[in-house]
Amino acid sequence: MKHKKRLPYLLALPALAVLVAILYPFLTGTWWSFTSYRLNRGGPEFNWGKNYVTLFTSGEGLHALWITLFYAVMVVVIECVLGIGIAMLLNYGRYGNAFRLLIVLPLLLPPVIAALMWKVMLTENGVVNWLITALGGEKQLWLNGPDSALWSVILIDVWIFTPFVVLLAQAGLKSVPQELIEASAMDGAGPIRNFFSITLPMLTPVLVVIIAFRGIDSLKMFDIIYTTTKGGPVDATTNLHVLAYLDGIRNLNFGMAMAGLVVLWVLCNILANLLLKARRKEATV
Amino acid sequence: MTALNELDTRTLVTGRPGPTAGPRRRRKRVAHTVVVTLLSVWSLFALAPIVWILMMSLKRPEDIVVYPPKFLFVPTIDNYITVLSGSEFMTPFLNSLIVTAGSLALTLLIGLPAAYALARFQFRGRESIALGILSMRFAPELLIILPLYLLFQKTGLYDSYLGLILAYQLVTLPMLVWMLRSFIEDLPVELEEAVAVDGGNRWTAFRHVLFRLIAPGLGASLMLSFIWAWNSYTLPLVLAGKNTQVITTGIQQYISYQSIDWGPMAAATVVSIIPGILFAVFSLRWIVGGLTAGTVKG
Amino acid sequence: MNLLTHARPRRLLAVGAAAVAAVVALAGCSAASGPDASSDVKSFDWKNFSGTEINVLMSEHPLSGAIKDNIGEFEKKTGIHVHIETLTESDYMVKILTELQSGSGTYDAFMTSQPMNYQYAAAGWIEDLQPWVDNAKQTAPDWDFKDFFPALIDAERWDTTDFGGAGEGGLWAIPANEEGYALFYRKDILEANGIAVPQTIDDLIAAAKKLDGTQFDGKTIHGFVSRGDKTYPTLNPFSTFAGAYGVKDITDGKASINSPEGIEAVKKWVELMQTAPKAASTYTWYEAQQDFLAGTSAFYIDADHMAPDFEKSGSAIAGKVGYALPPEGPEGRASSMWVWSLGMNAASKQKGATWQFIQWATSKELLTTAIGNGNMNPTRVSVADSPEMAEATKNWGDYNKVWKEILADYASWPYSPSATWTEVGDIWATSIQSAILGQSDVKTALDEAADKIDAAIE
Repeated sequence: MKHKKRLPYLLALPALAVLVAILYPFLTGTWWSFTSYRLNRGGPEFNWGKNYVTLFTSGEGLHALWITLFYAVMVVVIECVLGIGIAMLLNYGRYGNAFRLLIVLPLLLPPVIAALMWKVMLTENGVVNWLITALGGEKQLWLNGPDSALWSVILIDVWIFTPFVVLLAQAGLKSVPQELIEASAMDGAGPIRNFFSITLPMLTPVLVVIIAFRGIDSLKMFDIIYTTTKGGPVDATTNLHVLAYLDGIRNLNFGMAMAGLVVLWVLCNILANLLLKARRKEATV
Repeated sequence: MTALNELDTRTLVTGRPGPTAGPRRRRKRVAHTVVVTLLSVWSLFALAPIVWILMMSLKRPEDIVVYPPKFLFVPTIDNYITVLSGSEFMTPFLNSLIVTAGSLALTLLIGLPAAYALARFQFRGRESIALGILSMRFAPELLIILPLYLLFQKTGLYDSYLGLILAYQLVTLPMLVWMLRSFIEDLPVELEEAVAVDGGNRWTAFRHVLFRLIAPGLGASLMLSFIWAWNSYTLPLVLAGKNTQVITTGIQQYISYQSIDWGPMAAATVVSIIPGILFAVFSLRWIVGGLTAGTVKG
Repeated sequence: MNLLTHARPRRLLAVGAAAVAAVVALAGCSAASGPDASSDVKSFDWKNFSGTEINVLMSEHPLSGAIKDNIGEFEKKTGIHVHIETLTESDYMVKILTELQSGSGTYDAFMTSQPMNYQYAAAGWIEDLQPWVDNAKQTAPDWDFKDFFPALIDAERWDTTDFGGAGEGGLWAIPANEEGYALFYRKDILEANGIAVPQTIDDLIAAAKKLDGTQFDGKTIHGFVSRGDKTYPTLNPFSTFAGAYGVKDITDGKASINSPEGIEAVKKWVELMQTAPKAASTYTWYEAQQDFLAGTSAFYIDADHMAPDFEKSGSAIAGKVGYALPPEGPEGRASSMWVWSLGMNAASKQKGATWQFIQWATSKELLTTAIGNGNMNPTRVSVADSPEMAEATKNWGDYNKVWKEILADYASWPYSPSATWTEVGDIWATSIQSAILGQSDVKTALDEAADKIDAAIE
């Protein structure tokens, strides 16, 4: 087939146009991060990156960074393990679309609404505590406890987004050729060995997409956290995005807020680059 | 047997003298039970809150805020009547349909060629472009929302369907392009080359062969993009106005200053996931079709 | 928008412009404030701006509900077409901020509160309404500005000096809904245990401790409940203690929340909160209210206008709630207040029409009707004393008497006005939360918070 040299560029052009379009807002926001811009006190004044210094030297900023990373890692790991596991279970037999549809349902709710519903269910006198006491356990603090709040939010995230992983993993698993597994089984390998040496590597392209999207979204997670705890108790669930919201929308300290958000942007960038490298490595194998 | 059951095939293919029929079938049954149990546990976890919301939507106000929670109650459809009969919810619902459908259409138009280019061609800057498209998702909405609002005001895009559809591309385009890219890559190039040998060009190959084969991948990508667009929250909050308010903002109208109208809000939530369900039913059928795609692989 | 209506007044107004310029210079505000050329008229008439359109953005609230229900009446009276959008409160804050910051003037009128006034006035985004009130050509003769409670009007004034000038200077919004903070108690629980209604803070703490953990009606009772969440609205119920000890947030430009009185007030509050459910340390007004509604707490301090929710049919505690003044401390009784008001966008292109809207929405008639929508407490003396108000509250025990007494004698906005007040408030509330959770002792928490506040306000 003749390669028209310009064809791929032309095909990708409209998509790139969208990218260019958001450059202006993005650069504006980034510019603001280098200024001491308080929305209601005159225009932005360059302050040589003081916001970033404050961010990284204040306990507040570092804590938010920690929460951001912790949350993202936990969420991605748990959802991938659960998601791939469930996808494999679904592939085991023909369970029909009904099952798949049921599993997808949590994903259909807007995360804000789902978080709100969970918040009500997890209150002291909510359904979940009632269930626990009915089974003989003790009422938990869930979102109200300084130690349990973060895990409760992670729970909500897992509930909503694991189906996302399941869907993609299912599609990915279907492209794993059975013959390879059978051949390996013939050589005496057990199912666990097969999974790690055959299935998992072949899932890499899909895994890259999964980790990319879940990773980016969970680094940036805001809706679920703000709806349920506003970042509390104290700052147990304050990640960089929540901190930026509090700084920017509540206190009108936009310079500071943008700094936190740019750091988030950088984190996403790092993650994406790592994943792309992994992808390229796998492709050449 | 069409279900690729690992254990069975292995025993069949290895040719090892199989254990007697009894224990093998028992082992299979045990495995089967375990699988069903595990799946049921997860389904219970996944569905319980949704069932709870469904129940809430059918309860009268006095049955909702009680402790211990009520599982047996006299159902009422008042909440649904409230929700479906006013324009307070139905207009945002309609707006969401328009904006989401429009976004998906535009994303497909822009994204499919881009995904194809990224998957099938080797060209300079390919990975940079791929990263660039993905990077649309890096920026937290708060970072761009204030300048974007001003931009939209100045260009007249504020409170318009077109404006929202364009803004939604930030959410749906990276998703569609990246997912489609990996699905296209999974398919063997030989097919298109076969078409070329028969004298067709790339476009013909695409139309007749590839399109049908990536149907399951396309279905999955579209469905996920639909969900993300439908549930998008911050962008429409700021960029939509009185004419284009979408359901994510609209549902929250039931959260008033001193109380929350749980009944109507639950009903509104249930109604708002129906398009998603329909879309899922429609496209999941496509995903299952992926089984046949696997057989093409060498 | 009818261009014709604009064109004619503009042509007539060469002289008017000079007069307006004088008014603006006298008002000493930004050039965009005060009646401008496009809204100049010969004399007051509701139909002056007939044919124009305005956009209003409001938070979900009984007030906005009342306005939405009755807007048709306004449109008929004036010929002005009004588009109303309402959003839930947290969404509303994002949207109104984005809008005002852009200066695009898309929304003409909006709901505001004191902290919002401070932020917006400092930025010049909100219109000073005093020139409009004083202008007989723009203001209806029977609108009766003096009918508003003086304390509320004071709360809306600020001369934009940081941490000073409260109660003076520009009038940034017109009050439409007021809440003070009262002590709620369960009449039945107190009676059953032979406890009198506590009058002082120490009495309250003792009573709460005595009742905490006891059984009533098959449930275990908590002594107390209130807000505990880390954001500044939590300071509202706490203000009853802060004021009773004479605590100021900022004195002479430095944080004084850790003064001896400040520490004492928080110590007492923390002690009281130990008789509250453990989860209360993260409660917003909503959860605290739900807790009290569930019937499991004996005392509750929060916005007095929650009474309708306690007393409505189907409520487990209807008829059982007593309304008392906030408890006394060394400096007497005190309460903060929260005032939802209507403000005008300084960038609005329809200021005259918008001012008519604001007048109508805060008129005696609308505020009286709004009682039916649950808009309490009324901000006009005449409406507060009206038969409609008495009728609406007749089954609520002492409520009608208590809220007026709080507003008349004890309520004020006790915090220092400043564009950064929200940050100050958040820091203070977070330190209180941390003390309640036992994460640090009161003095340390307040000292650290004071340092943070000093850093934030410099």
